[in-house]
Parts: sequence; structure tokens; C-alpha cells
Amino acid sequence: MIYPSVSIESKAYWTGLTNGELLLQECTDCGTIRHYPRPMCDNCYSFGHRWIKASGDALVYAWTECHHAFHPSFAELTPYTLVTATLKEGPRLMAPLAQPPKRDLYLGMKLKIEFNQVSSDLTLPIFKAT
Amino acid sequence: MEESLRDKAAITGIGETVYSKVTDRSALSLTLEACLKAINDAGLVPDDIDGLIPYPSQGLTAESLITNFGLKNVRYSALTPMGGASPVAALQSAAMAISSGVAQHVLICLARGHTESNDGKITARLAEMPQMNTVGEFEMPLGANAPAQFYAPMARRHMELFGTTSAQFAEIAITCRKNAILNDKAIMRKPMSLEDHQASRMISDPLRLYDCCLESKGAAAVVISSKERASDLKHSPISIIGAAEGHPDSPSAITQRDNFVSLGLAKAAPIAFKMADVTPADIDVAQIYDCFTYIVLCQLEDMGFCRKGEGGEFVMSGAIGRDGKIPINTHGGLLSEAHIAGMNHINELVRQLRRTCGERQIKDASVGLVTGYGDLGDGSIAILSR
Ligand SMILES: [Zn+2]
Repeated sequence: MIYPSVSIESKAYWTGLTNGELLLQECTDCGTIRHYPRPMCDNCYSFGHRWIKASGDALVYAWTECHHAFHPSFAELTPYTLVTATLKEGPRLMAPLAQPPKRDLYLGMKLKIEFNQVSSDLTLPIFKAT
Repeated sequence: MEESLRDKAAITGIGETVYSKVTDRSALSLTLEACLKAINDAGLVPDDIDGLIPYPSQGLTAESLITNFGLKNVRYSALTPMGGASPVAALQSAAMAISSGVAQHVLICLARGHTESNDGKITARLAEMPQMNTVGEFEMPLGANAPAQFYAPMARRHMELFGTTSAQFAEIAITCRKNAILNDKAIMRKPMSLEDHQASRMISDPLRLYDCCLESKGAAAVVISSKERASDLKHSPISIIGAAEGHPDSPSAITQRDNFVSLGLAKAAPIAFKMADVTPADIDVAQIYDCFTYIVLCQLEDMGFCRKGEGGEFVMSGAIGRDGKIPINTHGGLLSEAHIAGMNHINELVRQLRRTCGERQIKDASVGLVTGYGDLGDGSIAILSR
């Protein structure tokens, strides 16, 4: 298992996953939604933000099927598929695809976010084909 | 402004150690050998060096070079931490230091020395790099742990958008191998066929083993001198006529990048071409950073050798072979010579422009380019002229 080194800026995101919610930052000045978590809005330079809950709807943007494990903690999981998908809210999310995939992936394919508790203190997002 | 660095500095010395799969020598030891060779090749002595741009890995610093060579006259040092884009970006920084009069002879070096076993180490090593913070926190826990896995989604999207194929990626690996066969420094010299490529194991789809560069040990260095000083030295100088670096949008996470099929080089290349007052049609030979085959294809498009999306057809046309429109990686590249993070590409371009490449010499090579690519899409380019 690789544990994230959680920062003061990202703590809410990781806590959200544990609670079964994908949280994104929304600028309280201009409304731009951003991910990954960071201190400032790159559209209006505002430091104000609130956390919003993503709908969980996403469309496939790119992917890779991993056959070689570069880290020993993923050796037993190969082959696994990592999908980059565009969230309904705008930003993208990378997450593994739930096994086994229902059919071949294609650009624009609809996915739904689910949550995979990989240990008592770590929950990761996972994509499921709808 | 575009002409700012044109013809202000030249590469006057090159040096390389032996390249191998493993070594019992430290990065520092290899670095010192490559540096000494480059300084000698320029016809200089170590104390002529007044500028240093070391590649910051395995603890190598300007201080360690100053200590070991006993340098007394260093008045400029810098780092260009852009992964594999660093050495070529360092050419730009060296040319800037020289054109401003701060330094006369700048030494640039890079080494990959002895390490203990590799299992899982790449992930830990990457996670420690500040420019990998975001990927380290948000993507490594998901199973994206190494460059092949970071870059493969870009290659996949290129395939889905433009119909690019694995056989087209293979052509790049095969071209590098054909060149390596004529280079006795190259680590991989066994002929490679399309069948060999397609039979090589899948690493991170669509990237197969033969789409991935080697892991190698060794060091390489170059000396950059002012144009006035360069003319009195041992070799005729190879002038830097254009240089630029470019950073992609969302440089800390490919996942969030608007344009997945373009790299930082797309921003740098037009600046370098304009500075050099040349176009892609004027380039006789190109050493293109080839950590993965797809990255070469994308860079060919980003530099304008062909249009976006046509890289696959372009490489299949024979354009990148030694008799083609734009011969690439005449030493074999990272794919077949060795992974010296592209410092070997600069060495080879200088040899081509000095016309000392023997059997693999590109006839009448006068103007060439070298690119760097690193981290999550950083790009660099230098255009050189004999
Ligand atoms: Zn804003």
C-alpha cells in the first residue's frame, strides 16, 4: 500500500473519501471548480473556497492497462486499469477501474465513481462502468 | 528578443564514460571522468571552468565538482530541475550566462551511478522530487507509480483520437536500434524487428517493453564557451543558434492537462526556431528525447515536422531513418544506446556536426537539433550549427 502524504490543503479531500464522498474545491469568488486541491484559484487568484460533493458522473478521457507493477504493493493486482475521466463538474480524476471491466473502454464512455476502502484508514475512488 | 541567444555560445567539448547496465562506480566518480574528458576535448584545463550546471541527482552538486577539481574561478552555478529536459535546458542557461558576460566556460554534466536494488525504489525516488508532489499524493496510491504509467494515457488518447498504432511506435524503436548497431558504445545492438517489438511484454498499455528506454549507468558532460573563446580551442566550435525551454499547462499533473497530446516542447520549439532563423526543413539531424517511443512521435508533431495527429504516418514514411528527411537518434538514443537522460543526445549531435560519426555519419550535417523531455511534460530544445 502506498499512503498519501496528506497536506493541510488536501486533508478535507482524503477525509471525504473515507466518508464515501468525492470532494472538490469551488472558488467562493468566481465559482471555478478545481482539483487537485491547492490554496488558490488559478482563474481569479482568490484564496476563498468551499468543498462541494461531486455527483460521481464521469466520462472516459484516457486510460492505461498496467501489466507491470513498479511498486511491490501492486504486484498482485496486475493487470489493473487506470482511467482518467472528466467529471461532470469539470476537473478530471484518475482512478482504477472496478474489476472486471464490463466491456472495452472508449472515449466518452460513462462511468460512475464508487469508493474502495483499501485499509482501515485509506479509501480510494474507483470507477465503475454504468 | 527572439535573437537573444543566437550565436553567443558554442559547445566546445564533449565527454562520456563507458555506458553499461550496472556499475560499481559512484555517480560522482563517473561525473568526474566525463567532465575531465569534456574539458580535455575542449583543449581547456579544469581551472578554466567558471560556470557549473550539474544535474541534481544522486547528491551531485556544484560544490562536489569544485572540491574534486579544486576549481578556483567558479562565478556561476545553476540547476535546471526538469528531469530529462534538464541537460538541454542547461544549454539555454549556459548560453545566457555566457552572453551576459558572467561566465566564459560552463560545464554541464549528468551521471547515473551505482544504486542498490531497484524494487519499488523508482516510486520512492520520484515521490521525493518536489515536482512530483501532486502525483505522489494523489496518483501513486492508485497505482500510477512510474513514468510509463504516467505517460501511457497520453499515448492511448493519441491512438484513440488519431488512429495511431503500436506498429508506428515500433518504427521509432526499430530506427533507434538500427542506429545503435553502428555505435559500439550502445548497450543494445541486436537487430529488432516489428515482430520482436510486438512480442515484447506489455508494461503499461499501449507501451510495451520495447517502447521503453533502457535503465543505464554512465556519465556525460559538455563544455559551453563564449564564441570569442571558442574559436581558439581544439575543435571548430558547434554554435548554439537557438535554445528554449517550455512548460506544459498543469505541469504537476498530466491528469488535469487541457491538451493531452501536446508537450511543453510545443511552446519551446517555435521560440528556438525563430531565434535560430531556421525551419524544420533546415534541420539535417535531430536527437530527440526518447524515454518512450510515443514521446518521440509527439515531439515530432510538436516541433512541426508533421501536423498534430500525423506522427504515426510520418515515422512510417521513412522520414526518421538515416536516409530520411529528418534522421533521428543516430547513436541509438535512450532506447538503444543508453539512458544518460539525454546528455548523450547532446554529445551525439556535436559529433554529427563535427562529422566524426563514421559509418553512422549523416552526410553534410550542418544544422541539427536536440530535445529534452522530462518530469510530466517539460520540454527543452537547442538548435546547433557547425
Ligand atoms: Zn476564482
